[in-house]
Amino acid sequence: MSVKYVPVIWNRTKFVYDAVVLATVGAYLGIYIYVAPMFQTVTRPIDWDIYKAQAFGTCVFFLLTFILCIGPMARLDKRFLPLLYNRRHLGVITCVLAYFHVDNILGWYNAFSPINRYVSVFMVNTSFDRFLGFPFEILGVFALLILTILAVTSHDFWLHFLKPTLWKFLHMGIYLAYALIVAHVALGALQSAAGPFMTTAVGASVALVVTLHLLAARNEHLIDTQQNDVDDTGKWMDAGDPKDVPDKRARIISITDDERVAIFRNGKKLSAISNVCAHQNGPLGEGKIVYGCVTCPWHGYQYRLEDGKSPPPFTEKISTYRLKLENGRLWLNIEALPPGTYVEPVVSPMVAEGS
Amino acid sequence: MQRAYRKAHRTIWFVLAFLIPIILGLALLMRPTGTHEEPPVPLDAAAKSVLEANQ
Repeated sequence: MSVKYVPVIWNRTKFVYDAVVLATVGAYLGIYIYVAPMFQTVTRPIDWDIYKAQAFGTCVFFLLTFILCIGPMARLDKRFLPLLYNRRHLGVITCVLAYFHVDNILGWYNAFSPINRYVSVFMVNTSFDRFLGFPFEILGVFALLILTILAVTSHDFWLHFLKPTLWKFLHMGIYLAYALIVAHVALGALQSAAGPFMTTAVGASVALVVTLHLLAARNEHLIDTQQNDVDDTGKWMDAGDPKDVPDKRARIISITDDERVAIFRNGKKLSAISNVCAHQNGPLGEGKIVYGCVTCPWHGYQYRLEDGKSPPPFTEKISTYRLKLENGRLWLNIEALPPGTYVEPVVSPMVAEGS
Repeated sequence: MQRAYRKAHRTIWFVLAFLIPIILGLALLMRPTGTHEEPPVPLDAAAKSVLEANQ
């Protein structure tokens, strides 16, 4: 039993995405480090190393805020989905920038320590019993550790090796990293912040990230708790009027305590497949039909509607479900068929193509 | 499994929605006053001319 290494498949979208991110990060750092100091006429200018540490540290914080907002924003509005496509590269860049921040901090505050500067981070402050004065550096170290683990395991090799469910749970560690970083900043930099800018920025970040996640969670909860009629056999669920399923798109039905089903319409043909992408458990029902295949909105993995298999040479497959049409209503059999099982699409003469 | 993941996700954010603002709020409220690092002092006209003369 082994997992084959598959290199990252680069395409134009990924190149453009990364170029925009790197240019933005470069511009931010350039302005912070080289341009902004020109406009300061002060008696005690901030030291160069501190300036760089601040630039990298704030950049990490803003990038992490942005990364955490992408998920709920994409769930609340499909127009944000393109941001999600290459989010992992953003995470890796954030981790690298965090190491630059650490390097500058250690090169200034810990450089003249009589003990090893890496060890001194854990030794200089041991006031663990205090809130203010708590060794906030340790919080940053733990956050960096999490960011490193997530960056290292961000490659699809680890996704296949750990399987999507475990990998997704592992990568929820980003939320803990964010909480640690907020505490690291609140107990560290904000304690001596001279102006209101950083305090306002951190407060706005927390308000934005928390609000977006709660709004998205509410939407997901509403879908999970939707009630559909089930027939006397307990196997067929009313899936509504076929006309309610938009052409080339899907209607998502919540069937059991676990999965959701996506009912897609391709012209007059209707098919039901699992809503869960085999790649990263993305919501297939929020994707659309491209070249006859359902395309995952997260990373573009594709599946044929009639059998839930990815077109060759790809080998992913997902569960399919049976549909039937009765008295103008669409009925869904809630028993999942084995992944890759062929199911003849239901043809509804009542729906017009392209409507 | 997906539902379990969504539930875990919701639970984490309900906890963090309280925890993070509390930590941030406490840290800001308890921030000692008067002991901050001395903010940079803007130069007045006289100091500027001395600085320029020295340069």
